[in-house]
Amino acid sequence: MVPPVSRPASRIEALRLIAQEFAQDPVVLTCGATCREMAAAERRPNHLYVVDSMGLVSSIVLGLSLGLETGQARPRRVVGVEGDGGMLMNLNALATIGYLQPTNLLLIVLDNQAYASTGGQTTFTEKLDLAAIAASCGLRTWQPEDLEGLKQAITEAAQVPGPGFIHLRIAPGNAPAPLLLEDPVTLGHTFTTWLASQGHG
Amino acid sequence: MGYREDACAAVIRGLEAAGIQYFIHVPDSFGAPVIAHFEGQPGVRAFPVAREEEGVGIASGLAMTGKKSVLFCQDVGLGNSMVALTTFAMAYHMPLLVLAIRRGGFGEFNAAVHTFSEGAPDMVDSMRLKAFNLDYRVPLDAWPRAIQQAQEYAQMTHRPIIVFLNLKE
Repeated sequence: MVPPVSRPASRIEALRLIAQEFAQDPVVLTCGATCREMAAAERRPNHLYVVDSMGLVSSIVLGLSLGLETGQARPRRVVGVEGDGGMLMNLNALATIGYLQPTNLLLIVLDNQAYASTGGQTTFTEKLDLAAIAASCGLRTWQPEDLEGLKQAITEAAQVPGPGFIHLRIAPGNAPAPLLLEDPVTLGHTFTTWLASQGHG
Repeated sequence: MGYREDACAAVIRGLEAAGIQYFIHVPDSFGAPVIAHFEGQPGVRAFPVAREEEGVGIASGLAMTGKKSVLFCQDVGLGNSMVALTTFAMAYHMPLLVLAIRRGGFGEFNAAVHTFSEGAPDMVDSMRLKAFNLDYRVPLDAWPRAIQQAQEYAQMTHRPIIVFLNLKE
């Protein structure tokens, strides 16, 4: 019998799973199609939609994670969702995260090997292994191949303290989603109001 | 002590009065005494970042959790952080304090750096970023209160505030 071949997830499938798995945790989303698809599919107040500032999500998440560290053995996760293009734009952040070793940070990179929001130009990840770079910086890494693997990686990452990095190859292409045209102040206020309701900020 | 040491001591007093909890820095020789002070200060978490825009992102994340931080860098580093400052910190109303050490003006020895430094205040102004200046024209005993007020102003006006520091006499 031929074993089933795993299919790369689409971005929106991965985002739906992330929203469901982190329904009570802060989730910061990178600009472009990632923000738009998440807002269209799973709009939630625990999501911070970063509508520009490409590459900054990993640094914003680091600041959030430092501010929310509790010293507990299994703290709340602070999640950043980045693309391969955004991650490549701020690889420094991996070095800083590795140096500081926040206990509660999880970066999930959805890698379609392209700048999909700007026309599909190729990124370096065709030849570079982002997970190997993250591992060399001191992050624990997972490289699932499909949605089931992503769910398993999220479960495992929640069990171990320290910064985690999940690298998921996704299929090319964007799902139809409207532009996210709200004032960033409103987007930020929704998120910080939710954070405050959780006892932070 | 010389002027630089006195100026650094004034900066330290200002940041302590402001209740800074996180000291985020990029290396600078003039400001090295300030970095050394906070690196050894219990109760303040001090750490370097590789580039200034990282510091803007980290300080913004901290601000969303109600924590007070400062980004301590050179004014030439503001060039690295303009996109992060405008498209995130300003756009999302993040209260940040940035102390930017002048690498131009009287006392500067580096023949390559002054061009950017001298234009940095105009660059910041053109981006509608609010900035204040502390240099030899302001008595050092006024610096701590000015730094404290800059931090309070950032909180009350919900935006990044930059303070240019010339630590050279």
